[in-house]
Amino acid sequence: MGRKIYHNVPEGYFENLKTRLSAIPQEEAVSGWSRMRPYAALVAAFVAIVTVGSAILTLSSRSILSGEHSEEFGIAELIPSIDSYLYYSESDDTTEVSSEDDILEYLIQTHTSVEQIAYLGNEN
Amino acid sequence: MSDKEIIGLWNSGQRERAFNEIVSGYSERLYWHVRRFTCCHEDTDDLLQEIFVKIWAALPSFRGEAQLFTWIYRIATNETLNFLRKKSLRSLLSSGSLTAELERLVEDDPYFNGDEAERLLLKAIQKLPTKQRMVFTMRYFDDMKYEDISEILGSSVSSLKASYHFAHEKIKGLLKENF
Repeated sequence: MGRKIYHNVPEGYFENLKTRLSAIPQEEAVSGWSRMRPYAALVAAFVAIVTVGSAILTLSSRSILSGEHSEEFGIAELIPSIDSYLYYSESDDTTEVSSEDDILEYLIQTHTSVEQIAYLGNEN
Repeated sequence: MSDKEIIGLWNSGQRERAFNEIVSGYSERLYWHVRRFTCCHEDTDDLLQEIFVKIWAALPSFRGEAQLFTWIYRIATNETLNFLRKKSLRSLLSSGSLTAELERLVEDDPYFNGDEAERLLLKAIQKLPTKQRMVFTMRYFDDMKYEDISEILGSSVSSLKASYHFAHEKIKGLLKENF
């Protein structure tokens, strides 16, 4: 200790100081986890978001790759949509329209109006 | 308990007991060491808590290359220097100076029990540059050997002797002005 001390301290100060300082190991053990808790919660939240996000992405990419909608989307990309019935129909019917009955059938199904038919007929 | 025995306790796994021995052997010494730089009992008390927390945290990395005594004093001195730097910045922001602030603390200290010459000496020490203040305080008040001060401050013995000499001359001049 220094040979020259020009100050007093409050009564019992050094005994009290030693008691307080001796508690540091226990305090640090408790506060160590308390300090880590918010960070642990952040990490857990981040892991949860990444896990759920990955699962959603994986499921979505599987359905795309299995070709459920690829044909429809592919055609939609390439051809401007004029008549949705023509391009998104799931019908595999590719027979050519040739007979009058077929033409009538087509006109009825496409809800072509009488005026339109008359107009087209005049043009031809 | 000697420093060697304390290290032995730590190495044998009795860590809390080793730390308590350090508290027992060093708390009062470190109090006075820090007090001479802070010039304030309350600041010293706060700083001591931080110093011993740092000691507890750093003990696992103590390899025994330095003496335990100089290692502990180095932690205490570095923490004190950091405290003084922060205080200096705060003083600058409030358009003051750290030296003036420390002189005011010496003047108004309710725990001072020395005479007027000793008060003037303490005020003169606050006017020294930091390194000179450190060397002078450790040599004059704590009777430390230059070799130990060298380990604590990381300076050579010759530069410390020069610092002490300049500090001594400056304080003599300042005290002569007042007498």
